[in-house]
Amino acid sequence: MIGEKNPASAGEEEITMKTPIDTPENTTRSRRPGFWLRAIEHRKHALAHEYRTGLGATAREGISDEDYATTMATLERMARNLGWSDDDEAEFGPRGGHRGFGRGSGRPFGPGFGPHRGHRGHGRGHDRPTAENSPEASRSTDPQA
Amino acid sequence: MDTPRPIGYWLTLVDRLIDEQFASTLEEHGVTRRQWQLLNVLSREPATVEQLDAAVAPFLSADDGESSAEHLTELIESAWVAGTHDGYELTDRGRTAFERLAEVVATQRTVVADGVTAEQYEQTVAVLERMARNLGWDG
Repeated sequence: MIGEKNPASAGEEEITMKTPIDTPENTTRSRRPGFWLRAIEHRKHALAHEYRTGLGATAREGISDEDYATTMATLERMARNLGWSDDDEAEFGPRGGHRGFGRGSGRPFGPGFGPHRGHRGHGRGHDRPTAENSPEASRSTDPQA
Repeated sequence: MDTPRPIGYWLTLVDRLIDEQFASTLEEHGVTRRQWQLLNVLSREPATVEQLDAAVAPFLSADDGESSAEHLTELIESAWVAGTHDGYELTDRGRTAFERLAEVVATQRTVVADGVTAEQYEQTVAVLERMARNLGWDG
């Protein structure tokens, strides 16, 4: 019958996985959907962790400790050169926010000359198409939007 | 900082910061980062859309079926890039603009690598390439 056994312990007589809804005192509840949903999440996280750990080991193959350390230090220096600081991490972490050298950092707009219209309407100038033949004159939407 | 951050932290962070910096700098000059990369490829020689796709593959979203072609549209409309029988090539106007942009980008790269020796820089690039290839990158 489907759902008779915990997939994480297939082949074993006892269900061994412990989740908030599966305790030794109440294993019958483990047959309910909530248990299996929790079991799936549990395994997803475990597999993702194993995958990430494995990737790290794979990525480092053939790289000396010295080269690895140099790379870490260089990347940190580059991050700081790009305006990152430890304070940024405290607030946003490596993926969050737009601090420092990124968009919206308050830097003045430069002299634009490219074809991309963007959204801000800032400086455009030399070497661009004229108003008569400009791309936007005949285009109603921005393909980069 | 008590605990050293893992390399994945720095990889993610620097990737994001470079992306933001490039996007900001290039946008100020009216070019997207993808367009800049395509101009870079075409500055060396004419290319087909397949060759352009391959050159910027790490930056295209496979999930969305993103192609270089959509990023070429504005460049063509602005007469920076022209279609040829075999693919695409830079026009004189495009080459002039590319050379101006190249100067700006070169300056930015100098800022990013400030305080990093040439040897450290080369070591880092080699390590990053090795890591990418270890993870299956074969470009």
